[in-house]
Amino acid sequence: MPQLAAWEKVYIQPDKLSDFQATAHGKIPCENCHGGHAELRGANTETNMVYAHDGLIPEPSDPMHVDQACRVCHYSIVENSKSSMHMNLWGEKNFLAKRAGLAQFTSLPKSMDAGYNKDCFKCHTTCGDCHVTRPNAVESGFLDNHMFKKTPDRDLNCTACHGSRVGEEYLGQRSEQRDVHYIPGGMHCVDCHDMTEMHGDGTKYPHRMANQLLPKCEDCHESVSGDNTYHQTHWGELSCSVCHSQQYKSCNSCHAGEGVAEPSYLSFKIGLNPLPDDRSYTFVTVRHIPISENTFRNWGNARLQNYTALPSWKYTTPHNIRRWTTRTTVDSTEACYANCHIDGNKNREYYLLEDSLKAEFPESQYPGEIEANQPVTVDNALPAGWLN
Amino acid sequence: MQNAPRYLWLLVLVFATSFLFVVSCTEETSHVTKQTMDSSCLSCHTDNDALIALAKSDDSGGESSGEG
Repeated sequence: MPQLAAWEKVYIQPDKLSDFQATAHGKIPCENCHGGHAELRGANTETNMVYAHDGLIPEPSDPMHVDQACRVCHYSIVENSKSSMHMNLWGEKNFLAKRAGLAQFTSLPKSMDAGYNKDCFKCHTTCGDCHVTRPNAVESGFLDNHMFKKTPDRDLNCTACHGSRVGEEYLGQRSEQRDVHYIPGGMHCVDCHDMTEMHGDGTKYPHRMANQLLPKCEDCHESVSGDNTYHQTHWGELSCSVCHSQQYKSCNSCHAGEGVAEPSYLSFKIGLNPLPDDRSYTFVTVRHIPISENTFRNWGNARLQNYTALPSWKYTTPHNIRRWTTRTTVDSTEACYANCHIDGNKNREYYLLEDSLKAEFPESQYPGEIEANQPVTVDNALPAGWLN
Repeated sequence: MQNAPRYLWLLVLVFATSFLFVVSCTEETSHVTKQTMDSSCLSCHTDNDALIALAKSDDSGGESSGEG
């Protein structure tokens, strides 16, 4: 996303000012939320700018100031959001701690904690990041003349952060086709991901998928569970994306402070469900996340002590759903499973198998990968005879 | 009941004082609001020439993309 120039980020078009002032937020004195010195001091000189900005609170909804700003009127939302995934990134923190061999995130050594705050935590969200400006992670800037937007903008807010995977998949920028739910002018992120999910419900979930309020395909599509042979056979056993997603992005490694070490690539892998307590499917789509044993070497952590504690192929819900995919499109002369079940070498590429892992992730180059992903490889869960 | 007229003036006084207090607070608030909205903040933040001139560093032109 192209960034705005410094002046554009804080510019209110004169002809739009009255629109803002007509709103409830536009009637609040600037300094009530932003601090600084608002009284008139004459011309727009640098001296006056420095004086006006003395004690400025650029983002009143940051955790240090949100109680004095947003919470005054939006009490319950702000209170819930304090324990939300968006503001705290619990999943990332918990997984990092587990891979580092620590009981909890707060036990991180100082160097790692500092590195995390510098390189990762900038992606946490505040009220303003979704309702007033673009997120800090993309250098901020007004969405629309300081107007407060009840519904965040899909492109300027949601996919500004969730762009390189979810956004690109959904808009068809990296898949063969865009998501069937995306029709220009059609479904917005918030049509499925509602306010309660975004703001949190006051529960401190250990990771995103532990939240049972997350949308599920079945919320809308339960009625098709017996519509065809595929659904009758596999409903509940396979996550919907096993049949209905296209290829999606995976990354093999990322080094904190440096970025990804290798280019991302398109993948499609069916693995064993690593989260059976949270989702009931047996087989799900899995995506390789950008981590490796030495991801945090720049934080003074040469190697994650317990890297193999969690799979690096992670439960994923690709946002490039189509009714007809390479697995569901079958020639009428073939069996319905011709493009999905393993038969000799046919269709093996769709499954996360031990031998393919060993070939793609040699231990010398990716230490710990094979062991870490044992729980999600499907070798021992496939029907007898498939791998003979 | 015989005392009621005697204390009526007290009741009226309490109501009148409360009314005057609310009115004065409202006027104070609107005064602050108007003063603020006409103040240095908006005189500059609605003036693109001033903002451009005052921007100490131009950090435009970057490209960023979400990670999620």
